[in-house]
Amino acid sequence: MSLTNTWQNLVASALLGTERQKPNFSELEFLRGIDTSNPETALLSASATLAQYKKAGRQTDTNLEPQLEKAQTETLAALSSNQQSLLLECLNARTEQLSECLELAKNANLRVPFEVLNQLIHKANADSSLREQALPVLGARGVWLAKHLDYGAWVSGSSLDDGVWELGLPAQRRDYLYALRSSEPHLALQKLEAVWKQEPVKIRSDLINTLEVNLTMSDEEFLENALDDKGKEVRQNAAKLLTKLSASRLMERMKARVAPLLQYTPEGKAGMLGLKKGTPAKLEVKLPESCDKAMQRDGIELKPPNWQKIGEKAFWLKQMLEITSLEYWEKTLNATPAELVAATNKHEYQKLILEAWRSSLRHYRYNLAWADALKQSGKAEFQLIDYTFVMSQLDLENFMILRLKLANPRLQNQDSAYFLGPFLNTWSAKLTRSVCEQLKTYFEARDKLPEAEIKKYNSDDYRLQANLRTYSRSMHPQTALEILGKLKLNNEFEFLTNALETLQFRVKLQNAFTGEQP
Amino acid sequence: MTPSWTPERILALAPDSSSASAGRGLAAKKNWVTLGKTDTAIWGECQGSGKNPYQTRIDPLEPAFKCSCPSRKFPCKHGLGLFLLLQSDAVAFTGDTPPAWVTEWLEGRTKRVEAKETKKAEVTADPKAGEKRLAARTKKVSAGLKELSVWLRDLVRTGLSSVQNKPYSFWDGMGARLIDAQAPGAARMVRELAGIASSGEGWAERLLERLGKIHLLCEAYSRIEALPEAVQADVRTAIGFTQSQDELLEQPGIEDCWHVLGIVEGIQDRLRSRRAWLQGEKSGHYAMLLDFAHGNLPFERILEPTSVLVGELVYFPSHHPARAIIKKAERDFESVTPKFEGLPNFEAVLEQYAKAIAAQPWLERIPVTVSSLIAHKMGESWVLHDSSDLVLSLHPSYAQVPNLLAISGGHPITVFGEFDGQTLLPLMLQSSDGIFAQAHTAEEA
Repeated sequence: MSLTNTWQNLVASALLGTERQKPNFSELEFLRGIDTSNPETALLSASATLAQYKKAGRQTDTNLEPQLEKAQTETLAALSSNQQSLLLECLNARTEQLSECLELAKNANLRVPFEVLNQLIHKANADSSLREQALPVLGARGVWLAKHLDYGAWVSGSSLDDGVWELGLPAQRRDYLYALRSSEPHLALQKLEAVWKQEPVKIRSDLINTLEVNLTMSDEEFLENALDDKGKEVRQNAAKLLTKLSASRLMERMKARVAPLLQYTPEGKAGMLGLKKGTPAKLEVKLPESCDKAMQRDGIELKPPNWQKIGEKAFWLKQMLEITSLEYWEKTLNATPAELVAATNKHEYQKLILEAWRSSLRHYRYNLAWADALKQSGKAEFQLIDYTFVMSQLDLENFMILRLKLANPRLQNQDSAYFLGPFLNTWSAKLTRSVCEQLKTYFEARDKLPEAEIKKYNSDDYRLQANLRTYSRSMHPQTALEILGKLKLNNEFEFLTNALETLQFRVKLQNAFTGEQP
Repeated sequence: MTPSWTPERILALAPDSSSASAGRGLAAKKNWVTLGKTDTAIWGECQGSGKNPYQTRIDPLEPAFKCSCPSRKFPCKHGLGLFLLLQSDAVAFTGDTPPAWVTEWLEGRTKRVEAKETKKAEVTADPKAGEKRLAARTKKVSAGLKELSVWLRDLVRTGLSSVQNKPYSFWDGMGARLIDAQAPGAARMVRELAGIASSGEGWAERLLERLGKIHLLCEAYSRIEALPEAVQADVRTAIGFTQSQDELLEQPGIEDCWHVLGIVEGIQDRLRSRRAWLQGEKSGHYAMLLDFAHGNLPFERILEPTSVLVGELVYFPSHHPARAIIKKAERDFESVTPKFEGLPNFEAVLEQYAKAIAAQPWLERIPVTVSSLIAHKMGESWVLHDSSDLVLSLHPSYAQVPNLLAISGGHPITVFGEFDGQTLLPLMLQSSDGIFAQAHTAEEA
């Protein structure tokens, strides 16, 4: 008690100044030896001694609160030190290979070592595309750790904490609902319905999009009602979702609207319907007369945006065609895609129709025959990239291999098969070989040019540079190295060097996890 | 040659992860135009983006690196790549006659060591000049500390309540006069007061504590002759006298297997400092190696946590010896991990601290190892909880709480760190899974 008093006396005296308040520390025996003839020196000496005394005798707080629950024992083995250093390299420097590394760890039934967990959870929190691969390799400790980190909610999100839905931030609630939709779509809809009326427009327009996961006709009623929502964005999003339900009322209404607008007459055959033989097939197009309230309710915009040079009626038609599946035309007009596309030839609205059909192809991913027909017409601004909407990865690969035989890697325009490379996640050895053989020819030819020419070419090939970077992530690395790694070139092509480095790293990565010796 | 270097150990020398990654990339024969080695040097020429290849050379014994590339990192990726390549493909090092750029470097290194020794010899050759310098400095310091003492008394006579309104120059002016008086340690203590005066609640108490500590230093110096020799050394160190390292190296050292337990790096202005805490395997004694490096220059010796030095350390004279220098030491890779025996609880830590500051009142921190600690959340902050239900806060600049949690998983761990009387700064952790270093970089240290 007297210790605290004395210290406070000393502080008070120091604050006011010894001129006004002389220090008094006589209460404490161990300070009595201090010479008090000079009050300033006495104050400083007493403070020094007492401060030191307090410091030496300091005690810590006691805690009797319950302790943290302990993390469970791991069932998976941790990465080896070599695997761990490769993972660290991915985390710190080669982010582009991180997802492949995690995938390899998962397939090998391994978990990330404890000391790397925080970094991985942090990274996957910032980049949600990594979460799916990160989750299985976190182990029990990672799940435990995530509970105690501000940025670990996405991990426990897999066990779907209802608290997040009640109290979380908008983005957390949306993530929660997305996750719930994939496991229990009906429950997710119920949860959304329960809070729907009290949420602000912005949140509603965001949350409604979660229904795209596992969308079925049981969501239709809710979406149909959302077409009357006060918020425009909510209405638009609801309409967009309803177009993906072919049996929805919106789609029925839309079909009824477009049906009279396109009429197809097949190529005339003698004696049939009294037409003369050789009469070309014909597509008659009527523009809609008006865009009434009901149409607008179904998501049709009244005015075209300023940058679109298009009349209002044409604009209405275009929007309706875009959301009508091409399958519908095939059936109602009883014609093949090729016939229908050909029938637009020389038509006043050819461009409009083909563009709308191209949009529809992308929207419904229907189908390869239409893609070929649109491509062959040469009028639809159809690009090879559109094939990625209707082809499986395998088809796409075969398609590429076929077309690569005719392609020149220098011609990196959007109509080159090379352009499709980035759409393939994993290349087979076959495709890799096919592309690398071409690249080999290309680099060898380039290498023979005079230095000045090479520099010029390098700047031409910016797209090949970008693509090579993407390719090196997806190519079959051993095959690619077998061809590109053995090139004997006089000049250094930096982008080739970089690609080779990536490929070598990937081989190292795969060897480290599959146990093969390099 | 140097069979004990492994890729992991080499990569631990990398200044950052991107250098490590780039170094790995360069550890392939095709990147090198020439490669060679002898017992004392490894060299190679690496084709970079420039016209001329970079000339990289390594003295594997220390190791020491030198490269002609413009990188400021040390060691640079070429050095790391070359060293890694030697481990993976020693056969590729076909050259056995070092080219001129290697021999010149080696000679330069030997010369520098010789020059140092000649200088040392010169200094010792003229003891009179040394004594004269010391006398002049002693005079200056005495005058400076007398002025400081008057300044302190003035402060408490007029009262501390007015100091909060004083400009920074008020403190800095006194600090500058102490620098002129060749008492940089005292100058630093005075300059730190400026921050305390504006540090919020409890500032007056903290300020008075510090003033007391400075006063103690002035008083001690005024009768330094009467103090025991070890305490004299502590007073001199606190004031800022430097101890001649050459003299120290003449003293007998302590032979042991020294484990590097933790590293704290700091930077002030452009001067980087590094405190490396070591523990002797036999003696159990802690020792601290303090090094400085300007700008991007490397520290003289590469040290990393969990590495081991076998050799002789000499402690600086002190009533509570802590700082030491290396008399002679070599890296040892075969040694086992440190024993890492900790104190049982925080009570024992406080007891050690009390003993330490009783012996050396200007001591800022002590190294401690404590066992059976569990991370615990109190309010918004994390603390450590010991086996007797006592808790200790973590140092405010400790940024690795998530890693500490991950490594412990709520289970008890042993922690080595610095204790400053209030908080603990963990530098190495030991769990049932192994030992984990906690790198720490402070803004100012």
